[in-house]
Amino acid sequence: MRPPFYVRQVKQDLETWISKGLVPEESRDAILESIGTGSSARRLDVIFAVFGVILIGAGVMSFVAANWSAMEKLTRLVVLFGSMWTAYAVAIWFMASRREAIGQAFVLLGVILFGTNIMFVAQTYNINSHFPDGILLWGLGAVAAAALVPSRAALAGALLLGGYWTWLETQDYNHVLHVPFLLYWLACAAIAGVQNWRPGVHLSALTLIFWLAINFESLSRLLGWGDAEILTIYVFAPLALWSVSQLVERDANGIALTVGHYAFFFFLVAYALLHHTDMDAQSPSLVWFGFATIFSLAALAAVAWGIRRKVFSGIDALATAFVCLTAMAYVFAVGADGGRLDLPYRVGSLIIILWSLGRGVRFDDRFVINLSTLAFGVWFLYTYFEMFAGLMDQAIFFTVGGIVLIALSLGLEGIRRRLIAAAKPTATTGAVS
Amino acid sequence: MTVIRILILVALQTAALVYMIFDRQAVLNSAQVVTLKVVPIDPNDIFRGEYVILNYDISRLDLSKLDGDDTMNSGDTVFVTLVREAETWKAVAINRDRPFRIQGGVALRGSVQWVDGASGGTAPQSIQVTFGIESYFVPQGTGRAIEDEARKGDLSVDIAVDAQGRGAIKAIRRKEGVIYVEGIL
Repeated sequence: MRPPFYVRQVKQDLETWISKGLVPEESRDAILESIGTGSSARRLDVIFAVFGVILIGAGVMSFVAANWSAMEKLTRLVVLFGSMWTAYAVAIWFMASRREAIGQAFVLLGVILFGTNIMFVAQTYNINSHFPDGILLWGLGAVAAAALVPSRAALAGALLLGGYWTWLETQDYNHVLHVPFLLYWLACAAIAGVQNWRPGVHLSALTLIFWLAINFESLSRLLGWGDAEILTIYVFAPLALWSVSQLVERDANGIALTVGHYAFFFFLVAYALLHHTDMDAQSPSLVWFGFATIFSLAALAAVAWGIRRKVFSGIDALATAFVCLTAMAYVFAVGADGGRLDLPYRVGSLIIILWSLGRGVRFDDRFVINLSTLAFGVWFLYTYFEMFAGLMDQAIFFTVGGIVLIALSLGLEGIRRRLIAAAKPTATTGAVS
Repeated sequence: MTVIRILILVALQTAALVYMIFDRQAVLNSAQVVTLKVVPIDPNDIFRGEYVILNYDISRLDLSKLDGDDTMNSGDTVFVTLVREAETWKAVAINRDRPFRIQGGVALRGSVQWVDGASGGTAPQSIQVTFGIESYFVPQGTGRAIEDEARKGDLSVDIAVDAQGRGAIKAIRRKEGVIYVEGIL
């Protein structure tokens, strides 16, 4: 899997080489194909095919719904099974005719019809059991399609269905910490990795973040920890994951690059939210302290290893230690009210944002530069609103706030562009995801 | 190779759907059948047509009047023991674990939906339980007639109960006879 920035660069260079006669024009498609991209026209084919099967799916469902009451059970079964089998038969026919894109679209149609068949069979036979099980069964059918065919569209569908399944279990059925989802997710993430499909990796990461977010309360109830303790899990674990991913990233592994970016984003957001949690006057648990220590040491060990491989510097080691120590100190110091930690927390956050910005520039990592710039803007506005909201007259406050906001948007955009332009390109880590 | 893989996929998905049907038939073929009195209402599911929601005497249980466990939590799996009383069956006990078979009794498995009166450390007074037999799809336009039958107190439902305690609606009856009977085709 090639990172998008690489693909863009090759496309750009390819046009130059063709115009200079260095590369024959007829080789264009083959070269683009070799780096995992096709022409726009071909992608349009795929999009049209997918839209087409969605329309066919909607047509079949409408037909079934409109005639449902009039059908005998046997007729219903023939229609339900027949439509699904026909979709797969057409998929096989197109694939055998080397029309892969349309074939894939019909596999997607088969997966959609499998899901509707579950619902219609449940209705026909009055199967009124645990509703999320139906969604899980549909999702497993999509996972099977993703792994066997293989089908990327089915994988995307499987991840979305998995997200819906875990949402139903946790929110509607009060499932405390929905661990079975992790097995499902692992299967999907593994398929995305094996297929080297970058959007699948993105979607996997987003689905996991979604699961972590909706299970925050469950984790708190299950472990008996305070909110601050739980949120530090979301700081330490992604920090350690990011540190490790940077070691792999030197080998230009696109998946590690993407995972690293998500982990960095997640740790930064969790650290920012830490100040909005407290410990409800309870003391940190020994188990939490053990967890925090192990993950901090893991992150630091990865950074120390990375210094030898020149993917980390001494500043990175200091910053990583700073993140770990301040997050742990916050949990010990916050008690029932974090208000008195406002100033040190704000200073600590600024230090981390500046380090992140510096690291983004040093490694020409546009994602980290953009994220850090955005984080600085949020930090600045938060500080402004917190510090001056009570001190200034409302009219002046909002007027000055508006001016600050406009100035900030213009200023930060300029700074971001200058930083990206000034960043030195490096062969192995030029990172945009 | 792709053809074989897709055929395996089709076989897996078809097997899953067929399993749903035959698993339901296995419950319906169970020799143990209980009859419950119902009070339905008739909401309309836009996507799937018309169905009746069935409320039973055993849907809401007063724990102080039943044998078995006294404390329940929302989401618990429970077994409600039913015994025959005249034409229909009544709840006599509720347990979180499957109880020993009571002479002439049947244990129906359900899930606690909500608990009333559990605050302050006291044992809950009443609970709402679902058994997976609370709705039944009917042909378009017939839901209202069924509801009218229920209002007159004439409606009852035959529930097949398998060895694991799972229940499935086998038939809907009124005084004059059977309205619907479940079958594979």
